[in-house]
Formats: sequence, structure tokens, C-alpha cells
Amino acid sequence: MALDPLAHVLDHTIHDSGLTKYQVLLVVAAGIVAALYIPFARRIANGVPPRGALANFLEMLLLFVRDEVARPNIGEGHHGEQVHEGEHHPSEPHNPFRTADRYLPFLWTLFLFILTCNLLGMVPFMGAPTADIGVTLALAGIVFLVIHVSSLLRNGTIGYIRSFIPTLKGDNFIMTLFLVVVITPLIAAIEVMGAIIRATVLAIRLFANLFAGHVALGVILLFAVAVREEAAHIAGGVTVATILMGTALSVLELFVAFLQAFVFTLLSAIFLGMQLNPEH
Amino acid sequence: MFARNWVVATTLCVLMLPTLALAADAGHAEQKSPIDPNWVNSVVTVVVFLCLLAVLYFTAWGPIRKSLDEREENQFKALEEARLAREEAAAMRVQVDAQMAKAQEEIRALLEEARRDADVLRAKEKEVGVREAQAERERAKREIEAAKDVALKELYEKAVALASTMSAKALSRQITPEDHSRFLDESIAELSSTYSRHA
Repeated sequence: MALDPLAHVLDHTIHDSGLTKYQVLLVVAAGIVAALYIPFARRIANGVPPRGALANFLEMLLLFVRDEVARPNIGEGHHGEQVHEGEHHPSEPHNPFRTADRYLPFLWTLFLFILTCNLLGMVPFMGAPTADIGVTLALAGIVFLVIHVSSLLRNGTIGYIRSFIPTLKGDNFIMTLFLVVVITPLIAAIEVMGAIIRATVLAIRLFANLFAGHVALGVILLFAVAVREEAAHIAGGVTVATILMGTALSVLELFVAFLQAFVFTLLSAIFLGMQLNPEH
Repeated sequence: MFARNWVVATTLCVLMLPTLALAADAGHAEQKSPIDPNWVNSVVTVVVFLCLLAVLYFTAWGPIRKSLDEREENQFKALEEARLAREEAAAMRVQVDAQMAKAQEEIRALLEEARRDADVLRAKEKEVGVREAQAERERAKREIEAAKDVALKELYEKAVALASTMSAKALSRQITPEDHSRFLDESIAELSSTYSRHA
């Protein structure tokens, strides 16, 4: 291992193939998610409850995203969504979370894909593709598109544009004119920038957490390598301390892998809910 | 069968891809800034993510959502049925309690009636017993009277016989006043002994 803590985090090309390590790991992550959930879907078809620890764990992840992320934050939040006129078919059972449930496939895929990418970073000699800003920017871009295209489809072009423009009223005509001419465009610009910044921050948060965690882990583990060259007489103690700290940090990283996948999905759901219901 | 083999083969191929990732470590590392995005990675991310979303949408999320909804519906149905059964059980319990109270009342009335009947019977039996005892006593008294009459009759007969005997003796010799007195004493004594024997 080189004495550069960034070496194992930065992406590498695979010889002259043109492929990089993270590109391969992205496909691996997608394959793992598909390999786990396609058989799981067949096993629990027709309302059969899951059996076994793995099946229950897989379902727990899905129910967590549905009940703690999607349903409380999309639509009318905790109070349930108001179904629009004509949207509810009389023969269908009334579901107060119809809008939230419509975005479940997207949120499930997003959460599981990010989680698997994060967890790949815990496997020795592999890496977390989400420690690459290019990957997280792409994911945030997808979220941005889903949010705004959904808002456009739901609220219409006028409604979508109006969601960025606040309605301000002054005490008198002059004040109202001032607010409408000067303040409203400023707030609208801030709102537009805010929407872009929110997506960017999503990407940076995920990237920074994963990247920093792996760099910190690399730095700590490299102490054991460096001490052999610089101070061999304390190599044993430093190595033991390095292993202990590395183990503790790995446990923390495991937690961070779940936490960051949750945070990314939760914020996506919140932003989606905000954009779908601009009046709130 | 073919679909399963296809899934297994695809899964194995995907799971073998990490060897490529390991091979990347053996290659020359491209030193770059960590905040310099690799746009090819971004494109690959979008393609992989959308492919995963499409595959899972058609093969997993649909059946899973349907299954979860069905199970949720069944659970709500089971809860509703349990609630109805609980209400029905509560209503039946009230009914049973009322019936039990009524039965207790009936039992109490029956016991009271039985006690009254027993008292009446006891009084009747007592009256019959008293009457029978009275009758027995009367019968015993009558028997005693009859026995007494028989004894007295025998006594008179004995007295008559004795008097005859005394007369015969008196006739056979001269009776002095002293003899007369002695005969009377003897007769009385004999009469007393005869009476005491019969008694």
C-alpha cells in the first residue's frame, strides 16, 4: 500500500480498458441490489410474509423508506394526501398516501443503490463509488430532475413557475409596487438558486462524508506502515492502536454508510414534497 | 427454468465484476483532485441507476408493493374482524352475565321454595309423629286398662275363691273372734301378694 491516504479513495483506470474501478463497482452495486430483491419479490408474492433473517431485513429496509421517509414527507405529510378530484377511482380502496407510494420505486432504488455503494467501501480492496463527486452529482442530478419534472407534471407549467415566485403585498400601493418589482424577483432568484443548491448540497454531503471517512481510515491504517520506517521500536504498540482505531472507525463508517443513504433519500423525499406542494 | 438460469448467470457475471475493480488497484493510479468530477463516472452512474430502476420496477417493486398492500389490507381486515369479534364477545358476555344472574335468582328462589317445603314437610311429619305417638299412647293406655280390667277380674275371682275357701274353713270349725281376725289378715295378705304378682 502506498503511503498516500488518498490513493485507495481516488478512482483508478483498469489498465488500458478505459473502465474505472468505480464504474465497475457501480454495476456491482446495481447487480447486488437486483440479485437480492428480484428473488425476494418472488418469495413474498401474493402477500406471503417474509421468512428468515435476510428476507426480513430486506423488507425492513423497504418498509423503513416507505413509512419513515416517503409517506411522512411527500403529499400532505403526516396528515395524508388530499386526493384530487377525479383521481380516486371508486372501485379502488382509498389510499391516503397515493402520491408518496407513486415515488416509492424511485426512493427504494435510490436508497438501496446508495447504501450498497456505501457498503462496498467497507469491503477490503474495493471502494465506495459514492466517495466520487461525479457519482454523487449524477445521483443528485437524477433527484433534481425527478423533483422538478414531477412538479411540472403535477402543477402545470404556470403552477411550477409560480412555485418560485412569492406573493407579496404591502400596506399601500407604493410598498406593494416596491415588493413586486424589487423584492419578488430577488426572492424568485433565490428560490431558483436554492433549488439548485439543495441538489448540489445533496451531492456534496454524500461525497464528503464517504470520502472523508475513507481518507481518515486510510490515514489511521497508514500509521502502522509509516511507523516501521520512522520508529521501529514502537511499531508494535502503534500497530495495535492502529488496528483498534481502524476497527472502531470501520464500525463508525458502517453506521455512516446507512446514515448517509438515509439522509440522501430523506432529503430527496422532503424536497420532492416541498416542490409538489409549493403552497406549504 | 430458462429465466432462472439467466438470472443466475447474470448474477454471477455481475458478482465477478469486482475482479475488475481489484485489477484497477494493480494499474496505474491517476492522481487527480478528489473534487474534480469524472463526468464519465456520472454518465455511468445515471445509466446504471436508470437500468436498475427499470429492472426493479418491472421485476421487483411492482410485486413487492402489491404484496405489501395485500398484507396491509389483510392485517387491517384481521384487526377489524378481531374488533367485531371482541364486541360480539362483550355482548355475549353481557348476555351470559344476565342469564347467570337470572339463573342465580332462580336458584335462590328454588332453594327458598325447597326450604319452605322442607319446613312444611318437617312440620307435617312432626304433626304425624305426634299424632301417631298420641295414638300409640292411647292404644297403650287402652291395653293397660284392658290388662288392668283382666287383672281386676282375676283379682275378684281370686277374692271370691278365697272368700269361698274362708267360708268353707269357717263352716268346718268354730270361729272365734281371734280366728276371724286372723283369717282376715291372712286373706288380705294373700290378696296383696296375688295383686303384687299380677302387677
